[in-house]
Amino acid sequence: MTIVGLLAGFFTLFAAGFGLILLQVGAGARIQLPQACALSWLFGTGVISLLLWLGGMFISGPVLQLGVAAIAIALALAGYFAFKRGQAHFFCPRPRTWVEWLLVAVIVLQCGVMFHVALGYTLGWDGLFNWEIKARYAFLNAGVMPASYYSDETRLMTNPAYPLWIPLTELWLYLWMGEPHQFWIKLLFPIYYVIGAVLLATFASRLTGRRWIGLLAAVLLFFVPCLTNTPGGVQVGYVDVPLGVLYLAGIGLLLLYLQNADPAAWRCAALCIALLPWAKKEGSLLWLVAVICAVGVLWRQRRSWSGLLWLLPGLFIMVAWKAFCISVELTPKHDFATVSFTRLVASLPRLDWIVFRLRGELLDLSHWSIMWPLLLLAFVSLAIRARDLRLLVLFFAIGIPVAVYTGTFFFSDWPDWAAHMDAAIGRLLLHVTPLAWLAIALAMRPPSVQAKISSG
Amino acid sequence: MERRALLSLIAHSATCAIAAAAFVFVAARHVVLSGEFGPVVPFHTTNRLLASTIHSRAGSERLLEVFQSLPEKEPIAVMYHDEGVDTFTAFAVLYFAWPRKVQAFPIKHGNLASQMQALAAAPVSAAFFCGVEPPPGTEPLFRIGKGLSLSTRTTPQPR
Repeated sequence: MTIVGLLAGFFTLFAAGFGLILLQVGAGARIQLPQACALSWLFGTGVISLLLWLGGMFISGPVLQLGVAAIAIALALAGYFAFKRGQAHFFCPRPRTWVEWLLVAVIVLQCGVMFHVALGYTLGWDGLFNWEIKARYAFLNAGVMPASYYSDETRLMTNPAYPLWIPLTELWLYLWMGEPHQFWIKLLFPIYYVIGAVLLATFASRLTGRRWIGLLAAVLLFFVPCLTNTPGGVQVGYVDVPLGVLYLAGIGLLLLYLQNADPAAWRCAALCIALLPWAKKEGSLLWLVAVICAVGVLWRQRRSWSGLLWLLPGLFIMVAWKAFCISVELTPKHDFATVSFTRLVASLPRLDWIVFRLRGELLDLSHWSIMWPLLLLAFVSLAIRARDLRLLVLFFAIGIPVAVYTGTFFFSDWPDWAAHMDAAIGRLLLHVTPLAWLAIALAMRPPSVQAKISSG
Repeated sequence: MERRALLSLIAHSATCAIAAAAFVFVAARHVVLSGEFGPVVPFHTTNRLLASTIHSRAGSERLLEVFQSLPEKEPIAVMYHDEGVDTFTAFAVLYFAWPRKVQAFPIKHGNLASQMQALAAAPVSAAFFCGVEPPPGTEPLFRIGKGLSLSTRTTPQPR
């Protein structure tokens, strides 16, 4: 029955997201099936986790579960009828050459390996004591995060201020399984890896005009050592990889919108961007960067500024979460001092070590191989061959988070702030890793095709 | 012009191929692909980690049994060395203690005596000692696993 419940949970997550996708596409649209399925998972987990959070303020127990399930099914049905009415249709791009078939086979194998690795590990420290613990406590409280948890000073180390995308997704599966289950819940995280690989392959294929480049980028993503060998990787249940995949989805769809001016791409990009602050606290920074990129793209496309309204949901989520934290008297955790010029000046002696540590991390072959030097090479190549808004968006979307994350350690309030940076910097870089591979894929585009796209 | 474009294409392709090969070659030895599958149990993570810290195969179930005999509305205390496996054991106690509040008494920099005094005065229903030897004469004292013991201040409720 546990497995049946788990599958029911997965089905409702997927159905809600797929319905939302179908509601976004226009009449007569051609929907690329792999990309739609990948985005369905992201939207489904977002919708259901938000519904559990908001619904949990009013109802609990089986009523909450059935209510959310009913909305998920309603979304799926609404999407289906919209799809039928609009006479849109699906297509699934098939590999055309033996090279593409080989790359697809390798990707499938790699995805299988990721599931094997994830199921062979325990949840990591944060995976258990930061994320899963919230799902467990909510399950024990009839499906609702207990209000007393937020003001419980004795549980401050479990980071109650962190938003609830992953914990409430885990809770959803627990509700269907009928119990918290530390083994089956690990299936969530390699699913995000698969989503990331699919989105990277589809985005890179469409942006370069070469399917083999997209597939190769997805193959190479697997070999980033940090994805499997460090705290924060796919195998230990941290949120950093899912957040990186969500960020890739948002920025990648923006780039597609820049290329094709497809309104559905804009709407889907906006929905992905809206979920960023719901994933992790750092998601608020990624949201801000993505919104700035979106404004730039909208300006370039000479579209109506009413499109900016689609960017408001992320702001609503941030404001609502902040208001919720105040209402439950959340005990603040002091990992960072208040940002001020005085504090920055006082922390300037940290500069040498912070730069040294960042450089060390970026050049750490055991964590990243030569990924970051490749990214630098890719940016140089793109700057020489095709200076356009896509390059600017990618540079900004990758560079700003890295710079800001590094800069936050000037304000670290840990007694051993260097240890704070040691513990966190690798995981923070995972947030931009899938997007970095999209940039590298764009640079792999052959020069002759590059010239045609640039001049077109 | 055509020759230049062709040379440019060859150079670009060669650079991409070498870069990709170098990336995979360097990465391959660092990618972790191993893991021990199973057992497929609800407390897969906490059992495996408690097995290595307190040498108890069903450590999670054991802790849950213990908590079922403690009052839900009264806080508990956890005393532990603030480093290594003892910290994990302490966090596991916190994990299973819900909805009870947990007062932590970490031992570091030679503060054992002061922490023991503070613990003695703490209004808790039970105290867990993780890697710390309870004070002499502490009763009743229950051994849950290697390096984890429990002293209750209320009579455990039978289930």
